[in-house]
Amino acid sequence: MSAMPGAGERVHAARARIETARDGGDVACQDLVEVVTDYLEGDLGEDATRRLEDHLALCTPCADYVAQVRITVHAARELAAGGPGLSAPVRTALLDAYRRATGT
Amino acid sequence: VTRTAPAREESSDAALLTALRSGDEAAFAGLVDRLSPGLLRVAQAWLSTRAAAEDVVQETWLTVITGLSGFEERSRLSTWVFGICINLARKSAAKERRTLPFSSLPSSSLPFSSLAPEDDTGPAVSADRFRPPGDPDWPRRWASVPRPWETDPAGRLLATETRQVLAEAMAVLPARQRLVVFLRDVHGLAAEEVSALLEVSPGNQRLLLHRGRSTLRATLERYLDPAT
Repeated sequence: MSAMPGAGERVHAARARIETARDGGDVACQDLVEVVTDYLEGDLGEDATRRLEDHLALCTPCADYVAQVRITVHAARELAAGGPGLSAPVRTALLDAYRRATGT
Repeated sequence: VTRTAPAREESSDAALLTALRSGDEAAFAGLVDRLSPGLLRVAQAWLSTRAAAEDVVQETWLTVITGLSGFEERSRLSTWVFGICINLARKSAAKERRTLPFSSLPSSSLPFSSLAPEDDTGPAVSADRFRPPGDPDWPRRWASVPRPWETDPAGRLLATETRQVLAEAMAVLPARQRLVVFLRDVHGLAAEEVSALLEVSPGNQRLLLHRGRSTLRATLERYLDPAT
């Protein structure tokens, strides 16, 4: 599955560099932003997760960045109720169908 | 960190299901009103018109009504409903493709499993925010740092205006990213559920989520902190 070479390879390369970083200070911020989703998804692997968390402990901008991603994810949930719904006739037809099916 | 639905929603599923099975019309109407806007948006990822999407959503609810008694609760109720909708939308799109000239279809109605070039929307953060790789002291470290956002509930982030910015940013994401972010982050489906529903590998599901979330974060940052 390499239909998305650019993004996929960028994440893959960032991940590989973080896995082989000497310590948290050796992790590049530019790599961290590419693996942040793998990290939040719990798919980063033990070594890279440790390096990344060591980095976050000493890099305030990266900690702020991860916080922003978390806030974005959290804020997206508020969009669930938004947008136009079904037209009135369709809605009425569905409630009728439900009433018939459940015999009320 | 596993992304799961809020406990409130999961614990209320059983009660809701009992109500739905016992003919509680208000409960059914509430569910229809809560999920239909999302179902319409999902259906439109495959279909060319709003009318076609509404047909699919109507058929989805009719299938739900018929299937209520047999629903085995192996997934959350909303996941089950979205799954029905996606399958019906796919079928309907296949029919549409046979009757309409290919060029009249939205590009988003292409099979989901083939990721498009449009999904490579560049790095998560623009390269000019970082020092160059050759920097003697801090290669590829932040040059223009992200600044903490005001997240006080009374603050700007949760304001209606901010939600609008986020909604607009979501609307212009490439179709596949939009669908993954929508199902994962807006509706709280789990990664495995979304991979299965959209027939996309776990790796590509994660990549689409990454691209989409990165773009949304960048848009919010430009809005909340225009100086960056």
